[in-house]
Amino acid sequence: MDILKLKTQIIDALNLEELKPEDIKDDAPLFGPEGLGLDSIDALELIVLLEKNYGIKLTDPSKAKNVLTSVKAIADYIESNK
Amino acid sequence: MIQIVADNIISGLGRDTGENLRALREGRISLKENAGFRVPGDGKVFLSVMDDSFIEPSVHEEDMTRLEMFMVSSVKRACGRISHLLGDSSTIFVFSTAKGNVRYLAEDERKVPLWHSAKVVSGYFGNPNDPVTVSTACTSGVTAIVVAKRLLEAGLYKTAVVVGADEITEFVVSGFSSLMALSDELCRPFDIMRHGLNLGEAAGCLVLRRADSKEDMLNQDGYFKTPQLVASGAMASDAFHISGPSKTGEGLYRAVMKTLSLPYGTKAETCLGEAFINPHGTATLYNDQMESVAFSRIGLDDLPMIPLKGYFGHTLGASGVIETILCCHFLDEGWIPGAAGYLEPGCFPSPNISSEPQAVSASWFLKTNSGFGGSNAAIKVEKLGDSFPENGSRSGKIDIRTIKSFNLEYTGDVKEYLASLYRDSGLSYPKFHKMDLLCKAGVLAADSLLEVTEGNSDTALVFVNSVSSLAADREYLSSIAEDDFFPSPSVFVYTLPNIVTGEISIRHKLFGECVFFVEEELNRERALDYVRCLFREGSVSRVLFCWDESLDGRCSLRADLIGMEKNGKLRV
Repeated sequence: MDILKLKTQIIDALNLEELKPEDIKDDAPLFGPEGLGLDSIDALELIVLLEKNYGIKLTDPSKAKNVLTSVKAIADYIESNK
Repeated sequence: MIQIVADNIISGLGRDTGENLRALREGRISLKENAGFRVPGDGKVFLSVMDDSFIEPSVHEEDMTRLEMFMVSSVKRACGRISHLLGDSSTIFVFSTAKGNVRYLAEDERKVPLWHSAKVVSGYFGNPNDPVTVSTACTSGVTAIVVAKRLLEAGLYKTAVVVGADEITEFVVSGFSSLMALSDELCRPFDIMRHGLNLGEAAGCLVLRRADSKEDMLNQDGYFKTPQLVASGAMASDAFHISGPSKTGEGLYRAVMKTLSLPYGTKAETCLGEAFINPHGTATLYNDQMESVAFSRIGLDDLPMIPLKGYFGHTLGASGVIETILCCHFLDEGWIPGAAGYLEPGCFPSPNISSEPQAVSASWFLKTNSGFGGSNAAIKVEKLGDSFPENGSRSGKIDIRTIKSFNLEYTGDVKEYLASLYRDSGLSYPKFHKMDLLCKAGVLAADSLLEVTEGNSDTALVFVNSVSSLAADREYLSSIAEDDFFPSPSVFVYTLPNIVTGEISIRHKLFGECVFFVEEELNRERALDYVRCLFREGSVSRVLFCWDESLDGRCSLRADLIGMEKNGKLRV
């Protein structure tokens, strides 16, 4: 799993223009004030990213909530659903 | 005083208001499973579709689109008795639509501008005035009624023909689906099992007329038993999120409080009399819960509430118009239908909703819309009482003055240009980069003209352009290409032009009035007439008035912060 590539994809998809991949820690929370401050639309866009780039469908909202917690959690999910 | 003088509804339930009312009386719904649309996840969708046979045979014109033919049909059926008013210079057409002819985006973009449909329809009836087009997402319908009422009260016109219409397209279905807002079952407003909305299409026409005395009221035998008036109305912003409703129902609370002339922080008293409420009631988890909170804060949770989208779905720009019309007839006939799809309370505090029809002896009703951009709109419609209501000083002269201006004219790489302005301004607002060009330019204007955090409700936002959200529309269209179908929720949100007023409201904590007009060319005088209407109502002290358009390598923004003058001095 190329985690740097995943971070770049996230930055592009969510227009996080003021961030570089190295600014995003693998296990830092993506949502909420302590993390990257992503919101509900970002979460939906991450779901599209997973389907578009990795062929993974994440349509169950409660499951998505558990997967989209950090870059590492997303990478692990991609890895285990290849 | 604004009298309701004519109406028509075309929906999946029927070709006129009578057919729609009959269907509601019989408990029929028009939502059906439809396999004809691609949606992410290959899920099921339920839609309510207008039958093409509902178009008047006489309006099948080659250069008119399907939606325009429905609009014309609706106006024709509404205005049979008063058709002589349609071509008169004292009559204004006010349109409400979220996406208009977006169906033609790939095929013939010239048909797509919302003003284009408006001109086709008002032109069909020979009306000499530039039509007004309101596009504020799901609040367009009620907002258009409020705008029409204000234009009439200001004495600018005598009659307003409000037309609300939207149709079902792959664009809209895939977009709402990408936002996970659609239910794969029949929608269930306010029910514990609700998990999304159903889309519907409809066209509606509501005709309003200013009466300056009881004698001046239009004689309308057989229309309503007691004449009905649009008594009041207001818009307010959540200042919370561009797609998710405020958890405290802040904008809806404020819009309704203003509509009922109640001071902020108070609660409605029972002395308001017998009434019912028609909420927005989309059947998404968050919208219905937000409304329950707002109506409870206002103290209206005891009033009978009738959500209608379980019958014909969420008809977007038509919804505020057709649901208002239905409520006028419920008010006249003294009953409300049961809420389709509602079995068990699913919101807290629980509103007073019944799945069974009931008799109501109401003298007024409240209709609300809430939508993307954090926009909210409310109107109060009442039966004419014994005394003729005072018009107040709604037509007095208002002097306005531009306090500050901010203009941008640029040809080239607009995205990079706006990004460089953002960098130069020293702002730190990372959300800026997520916005479409319309929002970026608008936010830069607001940052230049308003204090960063205002936190008030007396600054109104009045935005205008000619292309609506066309740049975002094109970008979204490319995400739903035949062989590359990944509808982008973050792009779809920006295909509603009023998101710009939402973004500004969030950034500056503005809870006030917002509107977005679409016109072929800026009719500055009329737009300023509308600005004067806002000052005249008394709750607005400043207006950010902005022409905001970015398309095809050109950015054109003209923003004025406008205040009201009193005795030659700026009123603060």
